[in-house]
Amino acid sequence: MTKNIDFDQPLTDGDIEGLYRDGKIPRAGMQFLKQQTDPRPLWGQWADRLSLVVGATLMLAGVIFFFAFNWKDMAGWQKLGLINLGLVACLVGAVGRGLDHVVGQALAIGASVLVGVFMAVFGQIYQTGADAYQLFMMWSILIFPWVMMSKSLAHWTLWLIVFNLYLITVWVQSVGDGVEIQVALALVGLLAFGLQSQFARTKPNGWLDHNWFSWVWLFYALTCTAFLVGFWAFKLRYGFDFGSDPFDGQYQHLAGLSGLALHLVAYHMAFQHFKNIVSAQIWTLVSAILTSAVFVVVFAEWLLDAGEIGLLFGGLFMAGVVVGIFWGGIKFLNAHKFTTRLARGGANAK
Amino acid sequence: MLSREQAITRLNAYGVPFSEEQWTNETARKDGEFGVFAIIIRIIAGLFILWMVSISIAGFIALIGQESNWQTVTGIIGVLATGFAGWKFRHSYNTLEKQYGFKGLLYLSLLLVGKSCLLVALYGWFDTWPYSSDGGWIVAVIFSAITAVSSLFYRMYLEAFLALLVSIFLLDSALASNFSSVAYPAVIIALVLGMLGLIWRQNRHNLSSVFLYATVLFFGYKLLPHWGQTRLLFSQGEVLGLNFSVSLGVIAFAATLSLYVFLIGGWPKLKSVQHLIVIVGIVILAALSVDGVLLAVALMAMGHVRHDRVLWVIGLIYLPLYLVAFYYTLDATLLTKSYMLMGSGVAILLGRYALSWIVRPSTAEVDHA
Repeated sequence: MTKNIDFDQPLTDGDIEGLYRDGKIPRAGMQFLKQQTDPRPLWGQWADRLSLVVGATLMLAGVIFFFAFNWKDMAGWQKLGLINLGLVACLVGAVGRGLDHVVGQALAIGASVLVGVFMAVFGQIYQTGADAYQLFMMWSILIFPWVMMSKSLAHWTLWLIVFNLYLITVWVQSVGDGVEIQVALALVGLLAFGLQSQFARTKPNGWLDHNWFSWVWLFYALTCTAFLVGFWAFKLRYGFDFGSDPFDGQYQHLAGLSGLALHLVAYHMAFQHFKNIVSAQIWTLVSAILTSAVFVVVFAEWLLDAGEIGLLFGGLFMAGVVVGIFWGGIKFLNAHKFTTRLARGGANAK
Repeated sequence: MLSREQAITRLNAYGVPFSEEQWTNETARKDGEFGVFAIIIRIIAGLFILWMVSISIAGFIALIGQESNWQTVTGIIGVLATGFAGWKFRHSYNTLEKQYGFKGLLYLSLLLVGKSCLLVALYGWFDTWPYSSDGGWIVAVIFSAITAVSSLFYRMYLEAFLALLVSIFLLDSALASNFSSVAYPAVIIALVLGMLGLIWRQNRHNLSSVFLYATVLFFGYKLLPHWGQTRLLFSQGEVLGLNFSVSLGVIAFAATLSLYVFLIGGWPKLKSVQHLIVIVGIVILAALSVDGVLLAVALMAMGHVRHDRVLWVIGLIYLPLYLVAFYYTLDATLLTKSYMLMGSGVAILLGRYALSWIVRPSTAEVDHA
């Protein structure tokens, strides 16, 4: 089978990507052709953004170090006043620069961080007796309005981290060490992935249309679901319980089942609904590792308990099964079709 | 504007064999056989399989009653597995398309098993271990030679990358335990020349990218500050204090300037204020001995120019590591560190502000960011 190509036509970026993607030219060849068609100067906008991030981070770190050095000599009102000053300065700067600009967004994120710092210092000075989860809860509530307005996925990431910390601390401080909390964490991750991907699809090239956010939160959600399923398999096989489980293990089967269900929901979202290749690859990779680990957990004792012969053939058998699982994952992925839409930055380019 | 026909001609002149027939050939890799995913899933699968097969080999040695002679058995398995898989990759599985198939995955796993067995057997034969001062370097040299010969005999870049990384780190630990600082200049010059040579040769072969990335990763690791001193060659807590001398400084400056001029496209371009500001920045960073930061930024700049995202990402990963390590290991009070941090932050932001007035990025440039 051959295709018709007009070789007098100009070489496009799509041509180069296609040739590399199909394995017809090596990576070095792809890079060479791109240098020919699209020569770049040494310093691009990447250097501009990098210097902004590095400069701002170093300056903020310097300010934090300065206060850390003088902290114990400062009066309470000075500590809170300085933090408030920084907070107000960040907010004024963010409003002045505008939330459509990267500097304005960075200042808004700085303000959100300082809200948490203010609450922590306030609790330290006045010994309010509040639990850590109350701090994270109030922090997530107070910054939520300007997170909504910020038009920044980095700001949403910060909010999600604070919210997840609230869930974890409220669970640990009010309930105990049970694994069931992973269900809620997986749900939050999946919601973040699903909502952002949906909005990005509805409004392409908008501020929500960045793949890194969906990949990070999908990976987070799948880590939680994989942990739940793996733990459940281990429990079914060996009857293992956490000593400090507040429910004496009675909800662990339900948690394992919920983890499996959420894992399948993630499959539906990545493969069927959004048809995003990288999300599907993340799902396949985590699932292959999970299945292999579950197999090893469930069968290792039977296979390896038969002395030298058990070791010899058990090891070979397990290696064969693992090959099958990973290869099955690759074939499973290949059996699906994915969309070729480019997100901003072209990160999910096919 | 470059036509497709001209592109083929230039690729061939560059050393990449390619033809119109290959272009029109209707072959396409599938989603599971492309990109970072294809690499990661194969490496993880290979390591899982290596773990299982190791159990199996242990069982085999116990079954034939050769526990006291395990090195020989493991070595024979290593030679057989490496030889067979290497032969396959040389003759039948020498294209990426085939290497990404099912049998390609099996042979990759076999190669990982074979090389691991060879390495373990070598340590057994010489009764030593990586950081041991008794003969650890012999194993490092033999294994590195095996890696070098393998790279010439067949092309399997995933395995080559892992083998090269292992070889470099083994050589490093062996040198740390066995040689004095006399070896230092030779090794550093060899590394720098090797890196430049690899960048030059990268155009011609698939595997040269692998060598470049492995060397860069290692070089970056060695430049991480070690309690205020550059660790460079010695990883066993031994550090090498280099006394600054004017001649050394002049040589280093001339070398860096030449490399920079090469990257920007020639001496005439050096006249612009933008490049002069950058060179002043380089000199300041060098004077502060923040060589790791210089390397990270240089990698990102080179990655940007060469459309090499991997090189750019390596620089991006190393940059915060160097910055944190630099300030963390600085022998100064918290207050001094805070002034230094604030000062350097303000200097960078002012430099950025000044450059933004001198150089306004074009629309095309914004699109490439």
